[in-house]
Amino acid sequence: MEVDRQNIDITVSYSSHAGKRPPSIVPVPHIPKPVHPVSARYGPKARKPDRVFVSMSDVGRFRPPDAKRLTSLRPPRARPPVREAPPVREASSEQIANAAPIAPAAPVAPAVLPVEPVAALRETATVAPLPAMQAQVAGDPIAAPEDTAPLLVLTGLSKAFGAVRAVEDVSLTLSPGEKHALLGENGAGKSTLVKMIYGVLQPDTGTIRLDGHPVRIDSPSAARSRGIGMVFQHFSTFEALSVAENLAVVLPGRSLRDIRRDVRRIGEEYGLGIEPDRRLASLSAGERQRVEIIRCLLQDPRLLIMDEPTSVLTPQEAQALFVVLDRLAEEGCAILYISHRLDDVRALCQSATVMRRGKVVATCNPREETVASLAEMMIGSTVERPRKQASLIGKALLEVDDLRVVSGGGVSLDGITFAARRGEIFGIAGVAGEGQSELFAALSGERPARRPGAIRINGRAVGALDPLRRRRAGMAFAPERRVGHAAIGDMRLSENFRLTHHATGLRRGAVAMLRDAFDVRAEGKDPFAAALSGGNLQKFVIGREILREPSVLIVEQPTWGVDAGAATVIHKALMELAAKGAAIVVISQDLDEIFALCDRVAVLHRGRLSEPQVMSAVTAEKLGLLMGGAAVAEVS
Amino acid sequence: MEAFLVSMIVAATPLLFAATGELVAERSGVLNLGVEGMMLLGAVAAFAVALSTGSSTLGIVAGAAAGAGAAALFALVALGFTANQAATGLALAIFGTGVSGLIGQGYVGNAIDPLAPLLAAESLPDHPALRIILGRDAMVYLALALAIAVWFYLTRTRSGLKLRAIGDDADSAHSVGLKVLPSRFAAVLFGGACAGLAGAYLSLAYTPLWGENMTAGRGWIALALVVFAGWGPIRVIFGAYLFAAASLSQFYGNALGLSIPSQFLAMTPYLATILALVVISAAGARYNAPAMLGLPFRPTR
Amino acid sequence: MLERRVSPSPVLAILSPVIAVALTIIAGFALFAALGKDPVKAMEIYFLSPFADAYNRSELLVKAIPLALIGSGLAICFRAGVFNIGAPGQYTLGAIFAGGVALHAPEGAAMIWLLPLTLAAGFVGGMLWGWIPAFLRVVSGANVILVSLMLTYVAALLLDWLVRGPWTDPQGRGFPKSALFPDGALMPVLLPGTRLHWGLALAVVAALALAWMLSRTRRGFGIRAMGLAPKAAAFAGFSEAKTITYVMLVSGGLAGLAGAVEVTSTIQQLQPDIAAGYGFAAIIVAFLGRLNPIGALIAALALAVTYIGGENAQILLKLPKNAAFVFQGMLLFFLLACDTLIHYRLRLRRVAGG
Repeated sequence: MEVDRQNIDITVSYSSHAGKRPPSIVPVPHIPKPVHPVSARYGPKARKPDRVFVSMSDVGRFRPPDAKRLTSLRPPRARPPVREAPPVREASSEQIANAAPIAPAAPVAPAVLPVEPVAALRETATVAPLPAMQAQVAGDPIAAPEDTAPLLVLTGLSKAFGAVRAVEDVSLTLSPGEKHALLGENGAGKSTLVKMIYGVLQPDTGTIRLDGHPVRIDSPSAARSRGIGMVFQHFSTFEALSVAENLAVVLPGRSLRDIRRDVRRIGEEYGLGIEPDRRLASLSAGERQRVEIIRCLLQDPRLLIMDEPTSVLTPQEAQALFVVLDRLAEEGCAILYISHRLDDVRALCQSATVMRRGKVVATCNPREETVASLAEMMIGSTVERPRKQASLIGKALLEVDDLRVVSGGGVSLDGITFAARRGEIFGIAGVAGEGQSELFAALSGERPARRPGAIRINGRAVGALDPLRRRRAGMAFAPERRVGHAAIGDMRLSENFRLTHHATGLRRGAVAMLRDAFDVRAEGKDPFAAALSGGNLQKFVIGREILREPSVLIVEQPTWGVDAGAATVIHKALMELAAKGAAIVVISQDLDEIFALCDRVAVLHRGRLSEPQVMSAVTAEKLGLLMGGAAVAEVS
Repeated sequence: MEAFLVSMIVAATPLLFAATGELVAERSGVLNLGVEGMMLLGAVAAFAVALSTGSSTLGIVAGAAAGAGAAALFALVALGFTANQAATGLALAIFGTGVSGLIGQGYVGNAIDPLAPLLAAESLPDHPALRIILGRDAMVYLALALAIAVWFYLTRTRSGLKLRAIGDDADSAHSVGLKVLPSRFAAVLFGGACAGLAGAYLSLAYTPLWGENMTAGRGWIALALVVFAGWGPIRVIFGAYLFAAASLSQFYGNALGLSIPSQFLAMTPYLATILALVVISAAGARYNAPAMLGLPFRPTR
Repeated sequence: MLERRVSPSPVLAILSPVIAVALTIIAGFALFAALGKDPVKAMEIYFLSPFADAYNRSELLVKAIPLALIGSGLAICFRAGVFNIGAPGQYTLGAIFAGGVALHAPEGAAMIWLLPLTLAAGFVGGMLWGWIPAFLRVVSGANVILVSLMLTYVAALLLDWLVRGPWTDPQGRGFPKSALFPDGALMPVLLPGTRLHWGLALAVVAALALAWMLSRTRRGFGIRAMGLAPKAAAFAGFSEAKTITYVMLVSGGLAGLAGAVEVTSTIQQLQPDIAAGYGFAAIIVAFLGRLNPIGALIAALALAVTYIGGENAQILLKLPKNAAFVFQGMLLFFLLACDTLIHYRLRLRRVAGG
């Protein structure tokens, strides 16, 4: 794919419209602004072609903003009255006419985003910034704080739950237009902190200042009325209601008809198109996130809090989201961005606060840091990532052949075919909600297939068997959800151990051995599972299965939401199990994990599985395109 | 036939009150099985007040208040203490039966004048069907108006939308700042007041006297009715009249030329409800069934 | 405000029923005082008179038998998270099936088999009525609470039809009653001079067997797992459909057995009112007994006190029969509230935003 200079100009022109930006951030014309490259996030340099172009129209979900729409980005309330009067379409063409330099090719622009080669990016970030980057840095609120009074100032915020100090003496300053990252491991207190800003929780001590005035934010609606919007990691949407009704729930005094119109308008302006009358139950995770974002945008946010937004997006969708966030920031909206994906943070944010165990341990400009240095700040020590040893790949132990499961509420599996071989870790990538849990249930036997031959273990047809019999046939499973699926919070560890061992016999002292071998830390001899931290419980769950010495292990999101130490233990254990000759299937939404663990990978999209790819021959871009629904032939 | 229609309207009215109230509570996600108890308390309170003051209006108000008070007890345990809603509702049903019996002991055998028709007989048109429909007491029309108002509230107002959202996903509702527990508390209180009105209608208009256990299972029928109607207020109206007709058929069965034993006719509302439940559940489409029905909510961090 | 405990409090788990009983007595005292009845006298009759003499004590056990049978079955049902509140209907069906066998036994048949057959028929009848909601739940997802409740009324109407129609006693002068059961179908008395019968042994055996099943067998483990986390239980290989069906069959069967025991012992015929109210009271028994079959045995005695006390109060204080329900209802309210404190801690502090 080739792209000409003009298209790059388009990219620049829509991100540099003359809206409400502070005068200091006027970009240098005709120099491409660095677009957050997918390549920056994954994989070694050697794999990358010199220049990678990603066609956003192929990817679909997050369309980038339509280049010709250079309208004001504010919802109507914020607009000057003159612009409010004419119909939207006319207004925009008028503005196109008025708007400064627009590329002529705009109306049919294929919306191609250039992606910098990884080598170049690494240099730009750490060594020698490109001219555009300099301009950006020069305009940074953090670089020139005297330009703008801070929007939000937190001073000495603390919050305790019982004996647990979730947030301790945290201070933070945010200026308008600042894209600020909040970094930290799980349980570092990020979520608690933002919930206090959003009014879900009240701080025990400390003050929150907005525009210099101390405020008390009693509730999310109070936060919203002060211009604070939040997109939750676990969507706070209502399945039974339509998109418009979902928005109406939090927008007092706006009629459903107005809201429908606004949804369409914002959809066009920001590339967040969504049909306002669809029921939420019918939307994908990415689409639901759009609903959440639109919900915030409809309320003229001055501060937008995003909690792990890219976990449900393909890399390309994440790119498109960053474009939206960039535009919002240019309009003066501050962004508080929570993530543990350090590449995302380095691509998006110009300032960061790092938290550890409830406290602020560092503030930095992530673009001046490396992924390794950021990780070290978060974790407090360098974590050695286990390297996968090349293991001897043998014959197929798990064969899945044209597996079909019709699902009423969820995603139906459509002709899943793959094989995992002895000594192999087989990855199944995909964004959330593409059929992962259905595939897991089909493989584990919680939802048996109709045809026994759809799943074979060592040649034996097990497709129609229940989990018990599949375990007896040598399989083991670890689902994504720890409490309530893999384990029972109100049962003790010994009984939780029994959950998956009762099929094949229990050994005395096995629990103690497991806790020892997998470093499962908890108080008491036989505590309730609910008393364990996420990481420790996950080590218990994975260890419990590995102790069964399975020939086939299926794990879903093995390190989701666990701390780096536990993740290392788990990855190491999986590699060792594979080296001993087991076949392992890792269903994960985390591409880093897929790259770190797997020998081969296939991508799940809308219940279909792509052709398996050999890991060493695949790039993150390619996987990203597959995750967005492209066929293998198209991307190779 | 005329007598049958009049009886049907009169028998449908308490069902309609109770089911409309329960519907609101259930749409907010709360399953209150204590309708029978709340109705009995409403009935005895209404009768006691009407008898002692001579005002049936005051009686009706007292009935609604008693129902709401009983509902508050339920809400305290089931919402405040997040106890099992089904068990708490059952406790309310048992408790209400007992307390109403205790309070009503002194009123057994007393009689009061039934509620007067809303419109005077001379002002009614001559058409016999219209005379039947328009010649009823005010409570009959109040029940209909209430069901329609609830329909309007749930489908056309912002507050009703919020209530449905809470019934659909209380955790989401909490995180976007809706007041989950206060809203549910209010919905349960409304349901209790309606059940109290249903009881008041029984003791002031239907019989009109107080007798122990006089609701005779109507509270449970009202629960069935909500499900039968697929949680839709307009369908509840039709369901109430249908169920009333079915339950009356044991008295009118022979007159209407039916040879089936009356008990089997009386079973039809229950069997129809089971059928409706199976169809609604199997269809997968959620109709209006609140996803959170019966699940306790406790705000977490 | 309530705050979740890290692990449930074992002390409160045991103390909660005791506290609830104490609160019930206190509240009952206040209620009777408020209603202008002599509270001391009332409490004495409700709570002490059932223990006053041998006859009252034996009657206590008679009442406890059906409560314990149903309650222990419900305990495992609730343990599995299956809220069967249709026990009154299952009880009624058990009585109908038992009555069907007892009333239609051929004259002079081997009488020694008649009682076991009658009881077995009752068990089967209850199982059938328990199986229907389980089946509908498994095939269509229909709510067990509502279906089992509806079936309760269907069962009551069925019994009503039978005793007024096909099974009515030809010599009954039009009363809605069946003929008296033949002697061979009656429960033998355990203590001469009282009504206490061998049903007591059945109740004890059933509770012990269920307790063993729940704590020692894999099926019991599966039941407990499903009650705590259905998805985890399915993941562990315990089929939800099978578990639901199993607990509904067992609890329905035991309720049916209770119905059979009751009509073959104290009632000795079929009639519209066969005290199906035990079915609801047994729900309190199950909760009061900590959802443990052995606990249900003890809790059944406590509930029996309210029945005997209620009957005594009816005679001595001229209080309505339903007044006993006041205590039952309050007991369940207090119990449910206290049980919350096993998992949550009470904090006298306002938390905003809730």
